[in-house]
Amino acid sequence: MPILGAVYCSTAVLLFAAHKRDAAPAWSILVALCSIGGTLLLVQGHRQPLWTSPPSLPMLAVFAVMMVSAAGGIVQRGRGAVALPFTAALVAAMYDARLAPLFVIVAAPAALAALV
Amino acid sequence: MRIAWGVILLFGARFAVQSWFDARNNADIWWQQWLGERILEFGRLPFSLGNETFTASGLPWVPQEWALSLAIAVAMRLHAFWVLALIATLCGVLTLALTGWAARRLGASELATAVCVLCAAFAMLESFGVRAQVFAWTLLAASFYILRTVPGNGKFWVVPLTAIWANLHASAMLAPALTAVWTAGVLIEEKRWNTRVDSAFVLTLATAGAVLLTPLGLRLPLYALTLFTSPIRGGIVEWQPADLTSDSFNYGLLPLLVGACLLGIGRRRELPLFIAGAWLALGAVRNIPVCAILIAPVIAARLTAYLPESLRINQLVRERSVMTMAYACFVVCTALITLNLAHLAHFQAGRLPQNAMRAAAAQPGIHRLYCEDWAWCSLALAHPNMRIFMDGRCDPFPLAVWRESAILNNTRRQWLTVVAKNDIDQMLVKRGSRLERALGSRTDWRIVYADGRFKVFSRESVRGTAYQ
Repeated sequence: MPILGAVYCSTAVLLFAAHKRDAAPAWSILVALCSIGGTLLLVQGHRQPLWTSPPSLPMLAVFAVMMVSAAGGIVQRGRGAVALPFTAALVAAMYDARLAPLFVIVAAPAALAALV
Repeated sequence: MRIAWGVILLFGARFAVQSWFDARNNADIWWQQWLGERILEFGRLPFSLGNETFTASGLPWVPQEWALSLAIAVAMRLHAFWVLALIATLCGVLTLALTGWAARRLGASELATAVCVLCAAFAMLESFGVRAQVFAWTLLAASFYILRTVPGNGKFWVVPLTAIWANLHASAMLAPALTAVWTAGVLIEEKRWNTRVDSAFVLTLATAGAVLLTPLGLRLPLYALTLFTSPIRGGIVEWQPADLTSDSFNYGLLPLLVGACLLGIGRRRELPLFIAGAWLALGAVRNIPVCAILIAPVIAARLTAYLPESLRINQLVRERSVMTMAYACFVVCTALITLNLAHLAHFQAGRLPQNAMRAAAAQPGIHRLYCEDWAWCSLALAHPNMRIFMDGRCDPFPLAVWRESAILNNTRRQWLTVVAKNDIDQMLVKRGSRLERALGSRTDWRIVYADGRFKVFSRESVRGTAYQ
């Protein structure tokens, strides 16, 4: 868990840096590959599907961020570079519910910014 | 829709092959044929399970797929199952066509429409067959084509479509629910209660009334409501949440969901529908085609901002020579798909243990049969000397029967007690399964049939072979 937390924090830092550099595509790809690849290695063999019945908290959080994203559109207002990390983080979260915080870190700021 | 028609042609071939061989792969067709024969014989619908089952005889049953069952029984009597296969294929094609037409009416470009029709087609692929819900998809696509594109009172054509849907499948309960969500979206967009909202509200009430226009009456909506909270859903594959192991999800719905998140859903009236459709689909695999049909036209319209009509490829498809070559390729690919799929062992041999079931029924006397996959027991309904533990109708069987089935399949500690209590004297199992190994190690069970995939075990029942 501490390792996962460290990966989430480093992802947030990388994303912040990517946005500060006007979200250049190379940074986005780096964020996507490092965060997704690294955490997938960590969660090998302990997969927890995201969509469950009854709904779990990670599932509700991911669903809420997706709906907020759909309301505004992530790539609107020049935030196109977030598209790749968003997609990668969403697929990773769907693969394993423990990656749901990763998706929320990647997507929530962009989703809220697109909506406001 | 020139490119989209090519996509529809390819998937139409896939649907046609799947439908043609469906009787060998879809166990539900056999209990539906049995239901249709009963309706033809007695002139009324059965509302309870009969003595064809020894675990739940007399329990209430809502035969919601009675219309398709009647059609299957008539088709089988006339050796014309191919007609139903053709109708199912045409319904699949029409569903995709309606999705594409709705996208074009919402302003989607050629390429964007083709991309979203492709996603909708993949979403339909895993659930496709000669099944009541396939016909329901066409009615759903038609209903939302009308809601989105037909002005004024023309929207009320949704009401007769809902009535037809209710006579085909219990998923018709989605019609008033989704229409209510649509009304909420219109209210959000209009920001006040005006004539448009009023009209949508009246339409919602009309569709709610339309689902009662069946021989089942109130039974249908009550059945649909109980199914939502039924604990047996955990034992049915199609009621499981969506997962990355599903191709229909990965190549069908997921691109559409990602597209919606990245591009936005656009008009405010569409957002509640998107939320409802996404929640339905992510909660149950069986709703993946429903959500894809609902949202594909809207995503195509949004995608057009990045794939506009002015793109060179969208201009190219207007040239006759280009489209002639493209359609020639589509036709050749369609022929190749049809020929290759038709020769696949998966389709030719089928997944159902038809030979094993005939062998089990050929044993003299009346038998109590347990099937490792309860859907297989639907084949036994055609044999008057067979009584089944549970079959493909599944939902009228009580939770206790489901639990006993899990005990038997996993050969848990009490499995022999369950066998003795129910006096099961035949078991149809899959080769290599835990139950097959357990039965093979016992001297009181003998093998009466074995092939490469299935085995039938039999024993002497405690009460002998002659019982009701």
